[in-house]
Amino acid sequence: MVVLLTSPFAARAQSEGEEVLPQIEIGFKTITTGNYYSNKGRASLDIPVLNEGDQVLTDFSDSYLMLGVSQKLYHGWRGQMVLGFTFPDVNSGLGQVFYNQIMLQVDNQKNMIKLGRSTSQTTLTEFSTFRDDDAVLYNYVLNPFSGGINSQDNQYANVLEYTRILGQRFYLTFHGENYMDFQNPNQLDINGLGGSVVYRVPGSQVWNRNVLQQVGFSVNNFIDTPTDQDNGNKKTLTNLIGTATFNLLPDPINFIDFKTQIINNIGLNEVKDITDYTSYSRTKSTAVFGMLRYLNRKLERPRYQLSAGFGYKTFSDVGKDTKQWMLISNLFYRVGNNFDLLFQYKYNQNEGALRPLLGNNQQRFQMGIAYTFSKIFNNQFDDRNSILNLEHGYIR
Amino acid sequence: MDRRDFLATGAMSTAGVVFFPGDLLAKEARINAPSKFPNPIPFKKVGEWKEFDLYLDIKVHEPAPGFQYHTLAFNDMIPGPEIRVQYGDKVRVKFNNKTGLNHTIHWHGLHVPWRMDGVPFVTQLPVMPQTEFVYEFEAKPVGTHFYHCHWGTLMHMQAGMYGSIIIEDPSDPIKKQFNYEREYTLVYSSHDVNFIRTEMNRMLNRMKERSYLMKEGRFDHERWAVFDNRKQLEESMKNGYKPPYTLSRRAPADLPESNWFTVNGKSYPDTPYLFIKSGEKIRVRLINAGAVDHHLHLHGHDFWMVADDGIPLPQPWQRNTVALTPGKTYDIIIEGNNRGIWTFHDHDTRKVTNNGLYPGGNLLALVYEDLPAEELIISTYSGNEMFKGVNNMAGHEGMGIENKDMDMKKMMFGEDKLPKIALDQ
Repeated sequence: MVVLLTSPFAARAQSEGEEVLPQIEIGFKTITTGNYYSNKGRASLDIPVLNEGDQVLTDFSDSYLMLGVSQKLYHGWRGQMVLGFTFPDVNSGLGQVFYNQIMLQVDNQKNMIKLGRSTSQTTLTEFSTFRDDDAVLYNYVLNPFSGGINSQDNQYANVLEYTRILGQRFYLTFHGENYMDFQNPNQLDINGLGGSVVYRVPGSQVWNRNVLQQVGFSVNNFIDTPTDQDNGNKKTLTNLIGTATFNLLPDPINFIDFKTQIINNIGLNEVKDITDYTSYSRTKSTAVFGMLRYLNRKLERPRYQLSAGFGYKTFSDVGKDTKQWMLISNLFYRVGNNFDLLFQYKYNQNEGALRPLLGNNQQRFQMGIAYTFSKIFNNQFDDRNSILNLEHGYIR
Repeated sequence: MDRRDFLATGAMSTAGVVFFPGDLLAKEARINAPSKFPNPIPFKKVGEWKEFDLYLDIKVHEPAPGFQYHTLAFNDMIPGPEIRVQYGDKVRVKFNNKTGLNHTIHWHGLHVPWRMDGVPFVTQLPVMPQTEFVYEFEAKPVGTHFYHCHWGTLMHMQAGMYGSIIIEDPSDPIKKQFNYEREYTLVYSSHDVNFIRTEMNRMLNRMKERSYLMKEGRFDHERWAVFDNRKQLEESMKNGYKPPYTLSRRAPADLPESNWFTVNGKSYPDTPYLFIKSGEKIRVRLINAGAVDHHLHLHGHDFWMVADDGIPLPQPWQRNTVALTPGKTYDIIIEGNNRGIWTFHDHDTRKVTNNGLYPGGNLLALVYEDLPAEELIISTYSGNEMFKGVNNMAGHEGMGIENKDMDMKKMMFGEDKLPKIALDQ
């Protein structure tokens, strides 16, 4: 009986009427780059970017296609479904495509509930790098259950999130996750718990010229984290994130902002050396990443964007000489609506105990093009963060 | 007949039929009736001028129960208040723009001085956010006219920026000929609420940006998309400027397609009623302030067409349907010669809908105040065979109704009277 009542067939049998066509959103990004690598020092970690030597190739990783549908529910709620996939790096262990978004969300003016595969809370800020994972060792909390051969293990998880929105700008989130576990791929229990509080000025109000665009703090706990040293004992690994974004020059033509984020991995006390990715992600560390961005706009549309970033990461339990740092700089130049030319240079330096694992240093120069597109069809209600809803009365 | 069939039959009894609230003859209905018509705005007499204050703000509006959208509202009303003056009056309208958008007011059909015509960059500069503009003109010609915004007209008008302006003639030939006492103003409009919402958000976004640059003195004609002359435009284009339309700001498929239709800002079942008595004549001023045609049809009567665009017709003629095209005004006289409750609606029934659902939109009623209450009783006057037979149906096998004494009429039709509010979809 229970099966009958909860099966899709039973639900359909109760609603023979015409279905309401939802609002449909389609979005995609195609990014293709030619990469030139210069790597010094042999790395034991099996990541293509570390070990493939100097070469040029066509890289279309991080391209994605997403389909979202949403509609009004009863009592002022809205429901949304998102299905999306992305193309991971080659040899990432994820196959040709990775389904990064398979989720449902219900929300009203002050509450959001998200359930399914989606973006995890391992970072609080989007930096203007070519690809989301270009500085993943610095600007993401690292999933300690990952084997380290792909970045998606850190960026996505099966999530259950609840967010309470206070005063339009304060986002209080509690979340639980099932992160990908490299050693136990069939492990589907909750292995992540955390929460965050973020003050964020909605994008539609950026021209109100708030200097402080965003500030936030979060806690991410990886529960039942095994440690090699404890012969099966499991502990909780905690990472803290603090972030802030400043609109240094909130000008419509010459826009400058600075984003920064610090990740403090509390670490497991037993892990005092770095010999593999497992110990790399479990030992105490502090990573700081900051990025300065200049955006030039012409006639109310982006024209070009220059960014420069710096990352620095230390490992206090391993030793002062073990550290890494990176420089990254890029240029986006718009050649047509949604169509950009890209240039990016990245340098990463590893010191001390990191060198056997990650090599001495890597340089990476990339040129490419990106095309992004997003369109809503059958538009039927407003976004929570539109000017009308924020400043002229929210409509349910 | 099983229960399923029974319910289907019950639904069929209302499908395609429209009823109006049964309390139309109640005192409250008549007391509330004026609130459903444009509210005349008072004026101050300043010397020889009749001075009116109009302000504009963004308001959440509810055209029918349960549906809201953001509008641009004069004096917090949709439509704006009615300006009613005498022919030849000196009229001064102080327009205060409280929104973050630009606006003007165009006096549609009036012979105002050209600098008062409200066409941006032709007769005046736009009225910028949080500023005031004073319109001054002499009230002429006589008749039914309206005012509306002429900036971003495609969105601003359907967002609510319109209102009636009536210029009265002390020796009105229509009044003399038909000797009416009561008159009503009906302002029609149509709205693509999704277009309004999207476009208003876009405009507000753009204006936030532009206002910042204006304050800093860094605004220019290219960013404004306004040029002193064609040569300046062509020079800019040679230097790389692309007019907005070449950047595909909006595909043709995104042009508005109205999904809400209103009379005096309201859609059925909140539309106004025209009250009349047997033997009485009423004047109805029809204004189309929207962007689609309305083919208005009155049941049970022929009405007199007496004015076209405010101009009295030398020879009124009778008809029962009138095509009210965008920008038109017609005045009609209805004679109370057929007692009852009669629908007056758009005969393009696509416009008798709310967001595609019938009934809704441009549907209202002519109501005889002297209609005896007992004529509303269904069981006495309607001759509705289904209604009469309902009690007998209760005894049929397969009805699933255990209690044979249940009042089936009450269950299916509610109170024993017409009209009712029908929202059958």
